[in-house]
Amino acid sequence: MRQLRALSLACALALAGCATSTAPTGTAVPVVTASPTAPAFSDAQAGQAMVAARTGYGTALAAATAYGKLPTCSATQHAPCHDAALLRQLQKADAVAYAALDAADTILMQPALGTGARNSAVAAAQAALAAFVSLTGALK
Amino acid sequence: MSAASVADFAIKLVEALPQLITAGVDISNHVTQGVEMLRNMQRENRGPTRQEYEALRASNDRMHEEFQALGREDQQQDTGTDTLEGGADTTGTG
Repeated sequence: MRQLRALSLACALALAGCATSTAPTGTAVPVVTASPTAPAFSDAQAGQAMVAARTGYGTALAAATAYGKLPTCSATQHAPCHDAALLRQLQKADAVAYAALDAADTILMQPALGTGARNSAVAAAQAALAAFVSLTGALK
Repeated sequence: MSAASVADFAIKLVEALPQLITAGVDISNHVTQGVEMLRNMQRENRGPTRQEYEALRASNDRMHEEFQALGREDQQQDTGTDTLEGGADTTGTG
């Protein structure tokens, strides 16, 4: 579990940050149709940041779920096991990250709100995700 | 640490290995798919298509629900008085 935690932590943090550091400058792509191949968002760079954030979120969730599926620690159940209180903390952080990602999606789908609102929404989602990912550092 | 406790730990660890391996594969798949998707988008100077993003979002939703369900099982095993603060319905459709 420690190796899983280290792997997921490194990957999730790397992914969450890579789109903002390597993505090309924001390219406005008008959304003209609901076709599956149409851009999901009008702002390409923000869209890439959200893909990175959601990939990191999925990575952290996979590790957290594996931890949660271990038997609950008790006087008779020692490692490998999960701490019920820690699992609840992880779930709360997950709920916050999930809601922040969802809120960012909603804002990014409204181009009229402007670049500032989009950047703030993406930053809030990344911050919530980072909190969730950092909590997985307590897994052992 | 006694030989018996070492043996007990080893047995429990081996029992847990399948799900740890599955988790490792899940993590590897997520990273690989995410990196591949990002590389394609950056090479093509574009954001995700609706199809790409909805697939990623659906995967997140499924995993989130599975993880939160684990919490509910744990709470039922507890006294039943501890609720998941802030864990109200987070399954938005956006």
